[in-house]
Amino acid sequence: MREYAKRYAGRLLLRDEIELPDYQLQALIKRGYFKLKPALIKRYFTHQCQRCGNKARHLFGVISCSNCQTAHLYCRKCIQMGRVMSCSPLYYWVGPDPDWSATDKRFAWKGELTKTQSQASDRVCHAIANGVNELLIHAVCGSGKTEIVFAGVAQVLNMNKRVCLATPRADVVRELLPRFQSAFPTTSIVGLYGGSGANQKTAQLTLSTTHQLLRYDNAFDLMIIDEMDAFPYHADPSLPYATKKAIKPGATTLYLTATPRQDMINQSKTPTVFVPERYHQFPLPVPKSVLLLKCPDVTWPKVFWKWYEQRPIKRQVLVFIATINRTQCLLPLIQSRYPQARIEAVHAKDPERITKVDLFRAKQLDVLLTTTILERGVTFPAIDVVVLDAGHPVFDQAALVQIAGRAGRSKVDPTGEVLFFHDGQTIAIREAIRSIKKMNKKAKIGKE
Amino acid sequence: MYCLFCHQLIEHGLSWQTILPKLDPICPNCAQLLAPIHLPTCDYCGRDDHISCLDCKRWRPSQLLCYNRSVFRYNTFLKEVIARWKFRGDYQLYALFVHSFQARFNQYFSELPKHTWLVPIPLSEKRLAHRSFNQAEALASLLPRTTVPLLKRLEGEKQSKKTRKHRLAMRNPFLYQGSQEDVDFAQPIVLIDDIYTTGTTIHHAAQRLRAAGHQKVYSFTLAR
Repeated sequence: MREYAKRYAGRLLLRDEIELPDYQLQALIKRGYFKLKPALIKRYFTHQCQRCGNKARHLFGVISCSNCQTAHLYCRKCIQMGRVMSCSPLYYWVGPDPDWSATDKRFAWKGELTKTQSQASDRVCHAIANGVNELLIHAVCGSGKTEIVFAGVAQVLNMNKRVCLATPRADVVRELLPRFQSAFPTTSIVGLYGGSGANQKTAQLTLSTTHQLLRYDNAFDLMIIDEMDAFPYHADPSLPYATKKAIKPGATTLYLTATPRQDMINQSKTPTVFVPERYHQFPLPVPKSVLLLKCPDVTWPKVFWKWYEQRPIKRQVLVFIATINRTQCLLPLIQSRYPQARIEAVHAKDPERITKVDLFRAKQLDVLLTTTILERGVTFPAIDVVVLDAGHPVFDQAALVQIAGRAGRSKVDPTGEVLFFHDGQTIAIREAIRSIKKMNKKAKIGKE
Repeated sequence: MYCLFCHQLIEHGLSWQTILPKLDPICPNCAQLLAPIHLPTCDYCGRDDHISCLDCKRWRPSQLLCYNRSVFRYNTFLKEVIARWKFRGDYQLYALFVHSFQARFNQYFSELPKHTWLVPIPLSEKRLAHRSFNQAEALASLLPRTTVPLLKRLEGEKQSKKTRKHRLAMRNPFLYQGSQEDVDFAQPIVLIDDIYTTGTTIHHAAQRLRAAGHQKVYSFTLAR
């Protein structure tokens, strides 16, 4: 029974996802360990999927089902994770709570927090202890957000409660998993993202994409949402729905971000912690905005060549480009100009995306051209950053701040150049530079 | 209206079709990825890129099938659509093909009499319970002919997981289940399936029908 509790507690499952034969499941239902609830319910003029919260009429389909011999609705929105149909219920565990006390909860992280970090960390622990519902941690890029929450996570794990760190991006899950595993070596940890192959596993500490949380219900006592302003968390209403559904009543939710959306700052009375300083205590590199007469779409500006050749320190260069098409036009041009340099390009549809990024991290590439996919959540130690056509609408203020935050993340080489090439400063460029300067100022005041 | 596959909003201009809807629920971007077969160059298997393919050389002499015809080429896009339809179980996607499936049927099988029977390729009971629909039956139900379940399928491994060599060497998984009294053997039969890949499934089914005494067996599939 203990095993079942660990495997099924806090989840909302289809019949196919419960790996038990029928008679065993029926016995568990009879003894009151599993409960059923309808998968789709009627809502005024439409229906709602009880797993993903979908209410859009065009995202329901009609299936003429051969199991129940009727035509009925199913949800097309969350079909990637198994079909939710109105003739088959969703199952959830109501038996004894899972017991996570068997293993000792060693906290093996030996690093040291800076003053600002430990202040924030204390606020987190305090919030958890007092049952505060929400806390926004507004920390600049490279401030060590993960280390700030470690103490809070350890505190909750020691109370034998469950923790989830959710993020809209699978890359972030892949990057954080080893860091958490080394910090909590004896705790059961699982990383969930599409295609991880581990999506039916459960653990006390769950790292997950927000999508995978659709399978959870009433599970976590501490929810940490990392990069909550990243796409598609706000574009897809089922993701905030999933995270809300996955927490227990009275749980604490921490939002971590470097660029909170304006509406989050304005309307919410969410208590906020600022971490204006990077972990190495050097200021953020302030982007230089470079005005060109015309920003060419498919050729490189001459200023770029000049800058590239005359830099005093030859760091690796990460070049952000607005669209996939442009990366493909620009790549051969730079490769033919510098035939001895190792240059590659990545974009979201690139099958070799992960290996190329790893190569760049291992310093096997000199220049990497990228679309906005690498704007956040990835760390390269010492690089220069260039944005071509920074006035393009895909580069909004948050994106530019995040992009600028890729530079100067190493303790050894804490500066790095950030260049925005544009043909007319947009509000996004101006506001991004302004907010970076503001954070640097705040950090300076904090130090004095 | 939204595209059934990519969920993008489709904007049609205002026209008579707005009130007499005869539009497929597919956006122009997805529609251009489909490759309809307009003029088959192989008169046996209905392909339009080869004159005589290896598969036909194997099957043609057996004379089990009169001919096969298909609506689309089985390209990467259609592969993705059919995978989502069959394996994810997104039943509604059949609506992408309604008009083209009907139109091609009328084009290729117009000379067959009105009382032609359709025989969808069956699924095994276990698979049907899991999937809760049979894609071939869903396709057959789009056509204005009577559907007759003359075949039954025994349990077996998934076709799509097998290599080409394995598939060709497979034993016949079908059983004939029509009764002598109410079957007219002179009646032409059109087998319906989603994909014609190597032709093994279709020919296995045709073999059972021919062995039972049916004289003319054709086949019509969504993809080739």
